[in-house]
Formats: sequence, structure tokens, C-alpha cells
Amino acid sequence: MKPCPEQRSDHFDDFEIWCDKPSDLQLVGALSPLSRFLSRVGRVNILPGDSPEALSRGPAAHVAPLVEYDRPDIMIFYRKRPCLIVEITEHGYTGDNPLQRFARAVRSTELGSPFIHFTPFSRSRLDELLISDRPTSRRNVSARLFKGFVRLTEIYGIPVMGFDWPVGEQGTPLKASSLSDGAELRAVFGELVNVIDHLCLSHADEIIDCRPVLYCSEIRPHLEKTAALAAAENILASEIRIPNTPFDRVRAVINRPAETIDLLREPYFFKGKEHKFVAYRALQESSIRYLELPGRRVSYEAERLNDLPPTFAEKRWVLVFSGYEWRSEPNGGITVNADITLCRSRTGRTVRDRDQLLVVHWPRVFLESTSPVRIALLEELRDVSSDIGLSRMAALIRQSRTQKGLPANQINYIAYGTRSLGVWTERSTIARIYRQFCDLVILNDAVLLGNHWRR
Amino acid sequence: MSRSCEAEIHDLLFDGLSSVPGAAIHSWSPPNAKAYRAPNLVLPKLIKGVRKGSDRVDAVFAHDELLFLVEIKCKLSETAGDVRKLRRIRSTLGAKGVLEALRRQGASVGTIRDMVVGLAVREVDSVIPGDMMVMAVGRDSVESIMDGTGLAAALVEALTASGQK
Repeated sequence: MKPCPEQRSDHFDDFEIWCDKPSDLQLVGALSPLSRFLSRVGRVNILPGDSPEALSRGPAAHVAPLVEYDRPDIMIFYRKRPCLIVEITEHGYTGDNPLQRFARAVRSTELGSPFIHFTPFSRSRLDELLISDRPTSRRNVSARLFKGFVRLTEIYGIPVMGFDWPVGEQGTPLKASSLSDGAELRAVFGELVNVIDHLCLSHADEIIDCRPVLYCSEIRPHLEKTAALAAAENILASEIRIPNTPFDRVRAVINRPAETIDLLREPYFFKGKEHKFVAYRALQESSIRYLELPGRRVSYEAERLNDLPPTFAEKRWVLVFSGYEWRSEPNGGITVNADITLCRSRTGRTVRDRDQLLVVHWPRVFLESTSPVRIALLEELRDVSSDIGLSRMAALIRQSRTQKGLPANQINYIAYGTRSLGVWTERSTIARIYRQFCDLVILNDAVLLGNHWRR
Repeated sequence: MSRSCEAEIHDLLFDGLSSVPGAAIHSWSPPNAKAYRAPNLVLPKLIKGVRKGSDRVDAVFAHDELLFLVEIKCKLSETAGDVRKLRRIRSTLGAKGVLEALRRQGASVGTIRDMVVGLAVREVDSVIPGDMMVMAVGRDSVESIMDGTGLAAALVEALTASGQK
């Protein structure tokens, strides 16, 4: 086995660390006494909260490409090139939430940098702990996250690894009660610090020269662990990702967006959170008014779909349904994960290298803020939140609650807000991600193209 | 990049409480919700007796058998929403409900005889709510505590003794 290069100690001035938030900076500072590397890097800063465009005009211009999709927590640069990216989150839950930071992993590997995702692999949910004194079942992070990591490693030859944040008896993440307590910090972050030290001190030159580091014996166990987690079966299959869909089906959804209710099957909307009925009603009322074609936008007519690129009809599609409101997380991560795990060819490094094309259906978002459908649905939402409950949305929720044996009029978790039925904003993070990774985006009133088809 | 005033208050208060003998920090919810040094726990949010999601309170700590729930802002005039939230938590959950929620999430809270809700701010630029404790946090320390509850004297004394006030 090829040995790792000797640790260098003459290049600390060539490193810089950018942190997303003050607490990340604080953590780096706290971990420094445990780390030969972190204790000697002089330049540790908080990344200005500017857009990537604004960053590209300032002293952090070389960081801008890394944050094009989203901002990771800790970004280690060596000679102005990304060398190791670390994402830290205690929210390791089942379902789609763990995927929400996935776009950061993709961007990191696209730029040649190893990526570490530090999260509890299995933990209790706080809201479930609140409900009863009995122990709650712990939730495993979705295998789809780790499958995505394994695929990124395969595609780009860059290590992408999950690291387990240890949890306590209650299943909640262990924290260091004091950031000056080295023993407590080591118990939580020790493994992470060891790998940061090793990769930065021994492999930084190889990383920025785009030479492989997968042979490294220090990271092998983490890659193997990640692969084992990827191989696990999720208890809950994803109901919102529909692979292997012919374009005729996509065309049918564009013509009649409520078709997606049939695709997902109606019971999907009647289980889980009542927010799903906002999406359900948005689907029922949706009709497409605008269609983007390469180089132009036209009023929608079914025949205009024939003007879409011919490849669309030739390939199968992965349809991802988003019932979420207007926000970037977890929408962006889910979509990018679907691209990497379901769409890309075996070695497909770009969105053009796909076995299946990718369409997202997002009926709670409108191209036009003044859409009459949006205004009417906002009224329904106001009605649901106000306890009067005369709207169709309220009736659906009452029906669902009755079926579950719950008090019909106690509607939880739904509050009125204009983001609930949002408006597409081109400069937002989620719009950047969808434009970059999707072939088509079906909003409530418009169909948009991915950037690679627009010109 | 300069730190936000709110983040500065968070750090000063956390560090100050960490140095107070007998004080125990049970939950901390910093401005960006990334809490690396304390659990970031939730409380059930009850509206008209119905659970409508969860609340997070910036600082939850205990001292002298009192449980403190403190929201942090730069200016007192920015705390209207926090005042409503704290009053709602006090009236719907009370000390008993808050304790039960914290313990269920793994917090080891000792004996508690009462609960104090309060605010920590840099600028006291509006009227102090009479039923709350208000901590004025300067650039280096907790400068003063205005205690409308009449319960927080021991905390004031402890922070003074630790050089925080």
C-alpha cells in the first residue's frame, strides 16, 4: 500500500480557513489546542455574508466559486484552492432533511476538494422526546445521503465522507459544555480533528494538484464506513422521487399538473404533516401559463412542448416532487442528490452527462406573484390559519384529521405566510441550484429550463 | 467581519454564566442556530391549548433553584415578539411544563422553585416590562440587571462576584 506523504510543517502560511458563521469560527478556535494544523493556521476568518457575485469582487474572490450553490460551515483553502470542506450539523434525521446540505458536497468535489459531513448518524428527534417519557426510537440518517457521497467519490475520485457525531443516552448529540474543556471536545470532535490534521498536513499538495488521495490509509476506514451506510436499506422509501419516467408522463404533468397527485398516489398527502394539503390544493388549482424554450419564454400551449430540445423525448426522466414552501432547504439538497444518485451516468461529471434527465415539480411556487391562483390559495391559507375553516384546504385537513382520529378543528403547524405560496426569485440560492441541476422546473404557473438548455 | 451585537451578547452571557458557581446552562440557541457548546433544546408551543410546533429560547439556565428563560436582542425596543413569546411560555407551560420538556430531552435540571423570564440587551431604549428581568449587557460584561420579578437577586450577586456585573 502506498504510504502517505510525510507531514509538512513549513507551509502553514499558505493555508487559510473561512468560516460560515461566528459559531463556526469559535469552534475552530476551540479545536485549535487539539490540532497541530488548526493551532498554526494564522488566517481564520468569517466569510462575508455577501452573494457569490459580490464575494468575487473582494478579498475572498477565490472562495466565491465554492459557495456558488450554498455555504459550507468550514472551508479550508491552501494556496487559494479549496483543500478540505467540513459541514457540521446536529440535525441528522430521516427523510429528506439530512440531504439539505448535499449541494455543498457536490460543489466541493466539483472543485476537487475532499468533503466531510459531521452529523449524528442516528439520533432522537427533540419533538418526539417532548411527547412522552418513554424512550423514542432513534432516527437514522437516510442512506440516500451516503449513497450520494459514494457516487461523488466514484465520479470525481475525491473523498466524501460521513463522520458520526456521538450522541448521549437520550439520543441527542453530545456537546462540549465548555469550549475550553479539551477532554470533552476530544470526545466529540477528536476523530474529525485527526482527519483534518492528516489531510491538511500530509495531502494538501496532492489535493490542489488534483492528484488522487483515495489511497490514504487514514481516510480508508471513513470511506468504508460511508459505503456501508450507503448500502443500508432505508425503512421509508422515498415517495417523492419517481425515476424511469417517460417524457410523455412529464408532458402529461405539464398539461395537467394535478396529474402528480395520481403519480404520488393520493394517500401520500393524507399521512404526515398537514402542510401537504397546501401542496395538494396548489396542484389541484395549478395550470401552466408560461413555457421557457431555449432563448425565449412563450405563453403556454400544449403544442409548444414540441419545441423543447429533442433529447427530452428521447430520454427517461427522474421526477422529483417538492411539496415544500419557497425556501432553499431541503429542496436544493434533495434535487442535487437525485441528480447524483439517479441521473448521472457512471462517471458523469456534469449535468450533461446523464442517463436520466431531471424535472422538479414545485407547485407551491409561482413565476407571477399576482397569479389569481396564488391569491386564491393565500386566501385559503389565511382561512385555515384563522380557525374559521370554510375553504377546501380546511375541509381536506379536517377530513384527514378525522381519518386519523384527531380533533378535526385543531389544525397544527399551519400558519399564514406569503412564502407558503412563494414567488420564484432568480437570484436566490434555490433558483441558482435548480437552474444549475434541473433540466426542467415545473412551477404552479410556468415551466422553466435548466441553464444548460436556456441558451 | 465584525460580529453582530446579538452574537456578542450571546457569547458574553454564555461566558459570564459559565463562570458563575452553581449556574447550569441547559440550552442555548445562538443567532444562527449552530450551538456547538450546549444543547439547543425546544419547548412545545401551545396556542389555545393546541400544540403548534416548537419554541426555542435563546438561553435557558438555572441558578439558585431558579430556572431562567432569556431572549437576546440588541435593543429592548426590538423585543416585543420575544416578550409575547416568553409570556406565552410562562402562561401555557409554566415552570413545571418547561422543566418536563427539558428533562425529556436529556437535560439534568436539579430542584427548581420558580421560573424567571427575561431579556438580555445592549441598549435599554424602551420601557422595561414589569414582569421580567432585563439584563443590560455591555461590550465586556453584564452591566446591570433590572429585575421586575423580585426573584433574581442571587443571580445579580453571583454575576457581581464573578466580575461579570
